[in-house]
Amino acid sequence: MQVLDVGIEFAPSLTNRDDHQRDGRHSGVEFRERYLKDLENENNWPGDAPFIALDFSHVKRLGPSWSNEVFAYFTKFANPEEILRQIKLVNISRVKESIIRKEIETGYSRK
Amino acid sequence: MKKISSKKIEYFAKKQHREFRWQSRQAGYKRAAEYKKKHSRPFCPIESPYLSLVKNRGEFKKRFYKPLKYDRPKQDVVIKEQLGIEHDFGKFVELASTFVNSRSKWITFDLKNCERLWPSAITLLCSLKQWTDITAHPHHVPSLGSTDSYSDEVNAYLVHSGFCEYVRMDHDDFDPSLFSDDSTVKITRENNTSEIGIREDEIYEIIERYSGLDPDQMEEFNSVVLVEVFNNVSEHGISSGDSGWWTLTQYHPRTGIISLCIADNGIGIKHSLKTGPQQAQLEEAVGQNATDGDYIKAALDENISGALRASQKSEAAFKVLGTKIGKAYTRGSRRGNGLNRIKDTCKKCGVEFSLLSQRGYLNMKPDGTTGHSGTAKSKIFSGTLYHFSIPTKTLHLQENNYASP
Repeated sequence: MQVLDVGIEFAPSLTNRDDHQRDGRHSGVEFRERYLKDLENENNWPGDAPFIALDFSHVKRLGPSWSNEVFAYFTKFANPEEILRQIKLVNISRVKESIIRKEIETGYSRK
Repeated sequence: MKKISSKKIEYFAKKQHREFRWQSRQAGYKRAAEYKKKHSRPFCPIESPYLSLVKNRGEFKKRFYKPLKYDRPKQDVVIKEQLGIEHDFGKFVELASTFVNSRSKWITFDLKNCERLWPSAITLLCSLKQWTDITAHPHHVPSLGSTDSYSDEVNAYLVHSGFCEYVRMDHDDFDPSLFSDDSTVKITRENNTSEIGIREDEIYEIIERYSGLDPDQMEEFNSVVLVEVFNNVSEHGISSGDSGWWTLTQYHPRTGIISLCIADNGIGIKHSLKTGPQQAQLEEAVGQNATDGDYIKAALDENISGALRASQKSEAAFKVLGTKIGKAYTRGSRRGNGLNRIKDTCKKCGVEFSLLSQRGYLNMKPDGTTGHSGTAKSKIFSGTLYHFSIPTKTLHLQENNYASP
């Protein structure tokens, strides 16, 4: 399983969903396409072992839009528990984890 | 043999040259036509829904920002005592509605008896200046001016907050002991999206230093509120030149709040939603004759978005045993929860949140209850203003630190 230090290898400020927001750099779409490309195949869900571990220790800011685009995107293939089994969250604060969980649940709900 | 004059020779030479040029031009046209035929894509008469939304939004923006003639008689706006959402929301809305939509060629703000201008009032005046800069017809540009106040503190705050520089107004120096730079993020003309992060850090520094929020609340306010508001203003505000967005943050030790204003001169919440992809869903939520205030309420409560790439509910996505029972979203990432998240976080953190968008307004108290909401008779803000009153930890204790109340 690959371990990715998101704050160092990608960006410490994870804010924009796509290139329409802010300066468009380090967006959720860019992250998903760069590091989670293999999960975009329905056949890889639900996986047996974790696919990647995301280390948030150097992440300063994590926005709901970014989280929605990265994590909630996969609710079309799997339920919230299966997503968080495949994508492990490491060294993450309570607040950041709750932001991610809320976005996954919103994406899974159809309302 | 007949002798040909030099004039005639010159005439024939010119004629030959003209014919040569005509032939080569025709050959060029022929080559260009052949190239176009070979390389151009076939014409596709079906326009994608996204492209038609982009086109509609573009056309709406052209109408919205069309040049206006500011040619009506002079208007005097008298500001007495205090002006600001922070002080009296109702009075702020009432006064703003008298001049934001003004077409006067000369607007004078009488500040003589003004005792205090709060950051939201400074933001309102800067927004008006920016709006007239964007929309004024070249031959009908309005003059905006103000008198000095009898209060040195008001005059000094106009300089300190960055207002004078923003509206390019001459000013005297003020007593530097009146205000501290550590407690303010000044208002400036923002034109660089990559500097949003720097501005967020400056605001967060003030929140970290003075607010009464606990570390978790601070982290949530930073990650949800600041991020979502800046995402909104950079996406829905105007993204060209220095007409984008602006922010003013001020710590008020005597009042026990940090006043945070973030604003843009975009098309506003109502128009953004109405020209977005979710019109049908929107009509379900607010009805056909909805006002600006209804749109603000819907944007805060429902999962609706004005973003052009927002997903839509469909009937096909929601069936039970083959029977349609309503519309639903397809699972996956989707937009339209930003304002909802901001509202929830403010309630959790005990932050008072106000939202002004053109004629509509909504004020949410720290406990999450609605204080004021509705639609004014006339515009009260040119674009959209997000205002937050964040409680401080040193309520009423640091009175003698700064004069800023």
